[in-house]
Amino acid sequence: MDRYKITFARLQKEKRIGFCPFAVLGDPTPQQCLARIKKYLDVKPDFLELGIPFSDPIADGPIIQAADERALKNGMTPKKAIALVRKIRSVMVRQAHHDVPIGILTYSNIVFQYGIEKFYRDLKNAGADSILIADIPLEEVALFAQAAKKYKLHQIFLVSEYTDVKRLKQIEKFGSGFLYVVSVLGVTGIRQKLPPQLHKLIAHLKKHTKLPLVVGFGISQPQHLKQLKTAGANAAIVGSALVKTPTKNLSKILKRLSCAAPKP
Amino acid sequence: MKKVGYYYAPFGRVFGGMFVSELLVKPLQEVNAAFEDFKRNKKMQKELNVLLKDYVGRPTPLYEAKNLSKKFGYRLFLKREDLIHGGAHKTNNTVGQGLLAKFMGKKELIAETGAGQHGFAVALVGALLKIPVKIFMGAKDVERQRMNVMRMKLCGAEIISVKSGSQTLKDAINEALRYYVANSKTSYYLFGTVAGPHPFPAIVRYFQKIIGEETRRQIREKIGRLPDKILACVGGGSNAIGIFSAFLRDQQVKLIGVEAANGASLQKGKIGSLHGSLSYVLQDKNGQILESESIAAGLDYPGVGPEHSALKEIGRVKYVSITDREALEAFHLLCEEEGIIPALESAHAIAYAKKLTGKLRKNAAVIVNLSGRGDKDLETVYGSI
Repeated sequence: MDRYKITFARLQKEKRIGFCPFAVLGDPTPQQCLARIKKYLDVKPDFLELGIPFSDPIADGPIIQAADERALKNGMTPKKAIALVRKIRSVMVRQAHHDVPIGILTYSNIVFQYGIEKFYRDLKNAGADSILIADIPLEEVALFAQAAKKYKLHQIFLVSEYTDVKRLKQIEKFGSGFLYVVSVLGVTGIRQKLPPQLHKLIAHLKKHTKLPLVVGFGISQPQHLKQLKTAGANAAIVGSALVKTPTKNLSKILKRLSCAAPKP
Repeated sequence: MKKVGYYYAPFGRVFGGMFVSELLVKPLQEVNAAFEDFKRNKKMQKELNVLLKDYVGRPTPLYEAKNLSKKFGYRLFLKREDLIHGGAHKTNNTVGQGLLAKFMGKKELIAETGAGQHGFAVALVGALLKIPVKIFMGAKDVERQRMNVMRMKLCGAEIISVKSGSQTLKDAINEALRYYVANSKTSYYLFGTVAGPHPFPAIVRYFQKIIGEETRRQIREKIGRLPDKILACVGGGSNAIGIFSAFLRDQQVKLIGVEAANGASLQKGKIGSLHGSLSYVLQDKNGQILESESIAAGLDYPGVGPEHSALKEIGRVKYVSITDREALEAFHLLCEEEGIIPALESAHAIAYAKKLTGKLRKNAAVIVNLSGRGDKDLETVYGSI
């Protein structure tokens, strides 16, 4: 079952933009992280993105980095993180969120030390659907893409205004599931306004690829989701804005964000 | 995709590469292309050579330290990189890359710094070439290297104190990389050592290899042959690559890299990816990067340049380590015996030279790359007494 295919097809039929909340696995503890994910599930998100923490997350801004540090301080390891993914998947099955894909975000050294094949295999078995390694560009992806193919996980790539058509075609050879469109050249974080040229970037990408476009970095407000829908994006990832919100205050912001991507 | 920027070692081991976010690939490719043009550009080469001679103060002397030679029982030579403008070998690289940035039309230089030597070397080049400078420095290093912070400020650099993570060089690099992702169109990231993603290891090597080229010529003039051993301290490893590079093919010249005992990536680390390249890295079993610790801020780094990893694997360079205490003893020894105050980083190489006492024949020739001077370390040294 390809949960991405199912979900994107449904979104297209319902003519809406998908909502994808993000959390760092084990932030600040496995139990509290699970409580956070349950809050996310309350608003019936279309996707989940989960980060496996790394000590030196260079693609992330201060909010996600602090979350990584909290999780690591409390003993989170890749093995425990994958166990937590399994638990989250079982909660989702119980609550009948069968089609919600789980995407994993991490950094290359985590995967190297765990063992590339083993990492992909264990994630697949735990119920994950895709993996994005923030510091693996096309040039270094061969071994990872092989493992992704073998264990039927989607290898996700970042694309930006720097990704020209030639590169996009190469990315399509190794990547599947969706493209993670970086809204702005920079790191993850909260931004008040979407950059004006983002519309153009999305239009340009749509012309040259059939892969769904999921936009991330800086997305933090309901109006961002509305704007992204107008621009033609298929889904939006909200990370830092949620990660910095304490679990007890999550309901309000989650409701506002998910209302911007209303279900019929 | 074609693999770029790798250093190969036996058994399929590879080091280096480009482990960065997709957002950095294009900027790094542009730097690489400009670097290739720069190397072929006669006007730029001429400008570089004039600056190296008249501004930096090259060539630096190769000095036979006779008092220490008597003590150690062999002929000890010091390559005096401590004498160049800025006080350390770092200026060779920053003058070169500063010109490259100018060649590319960049409007700002950014850099990380640990000891502050590289930061200062970037600051002075920024002033010279009239390009504004931003220096990312761990908050801990800002504290312990106050003198260099002042020197950077005097040359007009803006210091960004990095308070995340270990608050040392590792996190300064993280922060500089983050800034670079967002500003690569206008900023040039002037990387300070032979680590980081391709093409930085190749660029820094290119601008530091002058140390080895001069040394090779000078030692031949002095003793009529190549030396028996060359010693250099290794943090990221740029001064060592600089002097080793001219002797890699001369198997009879033993090359020794000296790491700080608690920053010894090559001896205590495992292969992993940090700051854009595959190399030996101090890390736990899950791949989380560990914090190094050394009295010498310039050796206080959990990673090392990928070429060093390859040189270790092929057995061409032997890597050893020296403790803080041994380095301090060597620091005092050089002051007292030769009237030269070495940087604590370079004192690690002197300390290993001392360990060779009585182990070599009398006319054996050993060169220590004295990579920097110790004025910046006086507070640390007096604080440790």
